[in-house]
Amino acid sequence: MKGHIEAGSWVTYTSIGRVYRAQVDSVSLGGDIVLKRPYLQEEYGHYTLQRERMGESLLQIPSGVDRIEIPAYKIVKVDEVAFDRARSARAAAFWGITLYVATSILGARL
Amino acid sequence: MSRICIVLLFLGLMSVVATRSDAQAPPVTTDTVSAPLFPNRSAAENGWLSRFNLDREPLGGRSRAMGGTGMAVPGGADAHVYNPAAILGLSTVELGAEFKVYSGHGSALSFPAQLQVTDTDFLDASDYRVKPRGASSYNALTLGVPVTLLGNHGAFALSYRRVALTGYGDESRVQLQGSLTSNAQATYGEEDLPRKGMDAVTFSVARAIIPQADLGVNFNWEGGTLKRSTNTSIAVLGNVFASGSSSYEQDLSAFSIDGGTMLHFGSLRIGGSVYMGHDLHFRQGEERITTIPQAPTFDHRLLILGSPLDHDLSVPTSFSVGSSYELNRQVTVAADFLYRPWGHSWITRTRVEPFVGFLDPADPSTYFFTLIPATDTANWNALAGAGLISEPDVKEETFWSGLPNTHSLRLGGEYYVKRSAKFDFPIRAGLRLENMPQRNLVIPSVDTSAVGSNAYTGAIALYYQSLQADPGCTTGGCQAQRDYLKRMAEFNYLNFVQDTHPVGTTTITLGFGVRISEWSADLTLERTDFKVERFFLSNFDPLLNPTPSTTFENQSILNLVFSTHMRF
Repeated sequence: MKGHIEAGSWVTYTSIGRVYRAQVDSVSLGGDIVLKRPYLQEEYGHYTLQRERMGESLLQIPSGVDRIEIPAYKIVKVDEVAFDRARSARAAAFWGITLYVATSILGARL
Repeated sequence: MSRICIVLLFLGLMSVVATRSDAQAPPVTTDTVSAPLFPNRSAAENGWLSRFNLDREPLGGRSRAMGGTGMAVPGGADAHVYNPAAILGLSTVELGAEFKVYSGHGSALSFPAQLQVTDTDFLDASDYRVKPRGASSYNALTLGVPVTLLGNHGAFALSYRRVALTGYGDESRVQLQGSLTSNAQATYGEEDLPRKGMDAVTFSVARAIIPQADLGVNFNWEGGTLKRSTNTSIAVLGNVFASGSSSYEQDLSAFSIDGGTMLHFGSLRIGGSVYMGHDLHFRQGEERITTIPQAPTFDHRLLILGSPLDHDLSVPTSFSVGSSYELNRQVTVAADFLYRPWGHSWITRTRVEPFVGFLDPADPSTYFFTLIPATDTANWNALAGAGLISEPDVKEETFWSGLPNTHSLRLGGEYYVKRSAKFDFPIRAGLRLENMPQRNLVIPSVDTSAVGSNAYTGAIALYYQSLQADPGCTTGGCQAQRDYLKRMAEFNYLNFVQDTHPVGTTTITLGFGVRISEWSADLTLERTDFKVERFFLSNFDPLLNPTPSTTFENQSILNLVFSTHMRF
């Protein structure tokens, strides 16, 4: 699953060759995640979905699934890959000043 | 420092000023002058280093905002500048950067009512103003790495930091008016711009010896280029009709070692460090002075080329002690004392021998002097053969550098408004009392009946009169006058530094910091106030300005310092 794991956020969920877009319904204190309103985005190795969506001019293909529940014990690893604006701003401030100081030193000495 | 020739400037100035302001500037011919007509000394003797501050500037937002205390405050790589053992405050790999923006303001408490141009000509001086110039400068890039060293907590730090600026720049201007200016107001303005400075690459290592004691050591490779330039202009009725400039540049280098320790007694910490004495090497100096075109025709000027002599400045061993106390989790107070005996600093350079004489034995105004360096073997040997140099085999000379002691007392405190695992918000304040490397200047007198500006010209006259009565200059009085003139000719600026009343400064610091997870930033505001007595309009060089006078000024420097750190 990829995305901002927070109630109300849309995430991308991949399971058994299918890629879903779904909205996070809830995240329990124990780490269980429940997704709602999932729709199919694509299937690995097949173009049926794309053809169907384009041929019928559909934005979303219904998945036929109402809810997806992901128990915490099935979550093996969590990677923080999202763009964190606050953290990125702090990093930008730090590297900006560091680069300015480094450039000033080089300018003075070279 | 050699600068602008008031004498060249105002001789017969204003008989032409009113018409010149509307006229086309004539072509200016330039004569180039160099040694031996313009003798070389060391940069310190020529006054170029009058604002050079070799004291270690505080480093790191936390300690700087706490008045510059840091001797007993564990910190990151920044803390090495006070006490190498203090870098054991590192808990993770840390990278830091710091820079500052500075400005200031000043006012004249007193200045001469008149400027003496010749023995008989004076100009009225009014509305003298002085203002420090603003600029920015990097302070440091630092990297700190905590390690386990021989089975105990240790840390390494590598830093590139600015050790000393050449100085702070300023601008000054004054209105001059008199018969020489046909009673029109002439505005004389000067701009003094020290640039660059000395930097250091420091490798620090520290280790906890026992739970209550840490030890650390710094290895400092220092070097850089000192640079200072001045621009001068004369304006009448808003038109600049004459200008001049000067510049100085010289490389310097050194290697030094610091040692430090920190002792832990619960909430109380005590720190101490020693900065070992060493030599600072000044090499490859250049100076260039372009005089204001000579009045009244303003069609001729001098380009004076000089090479400040290579020299070594001895840096005395300095000691520092300090303590800090954590009143509780939110409040820390600290106090440091730094012993910095710059008064025991000496300059060693090639020996020079001054000669004073009169081109026309009947005219005391035709005096001249020159400096013969021992490296000028032919002339040196010829003069030695004539018996004019005592101990000619001694070819090096060591003398007082003119620097004052700058002992420093620092007090500071920190209060955490918010402190948690992910977020800190401390506020800090501090006070620092110390002396400036810049000296109060005093015009010495060689004769109790000759005071103030007669120090040099009066001595010339007295020496001349002595020669009339004693052509061989064999009496004690005549030789004393000659020795005084030789000392003035040789050491120049250093004759004017006053060693009894150093320039005391008061620095107030305020600051705050923000830490969010792995990132932190600190902002510090420093204000330093001091009063200083300086040369009026121009630093002194007897070749260019034989009638020095002084002003008394109130100045303050405002530093705004930004620093940021990232932990990995």
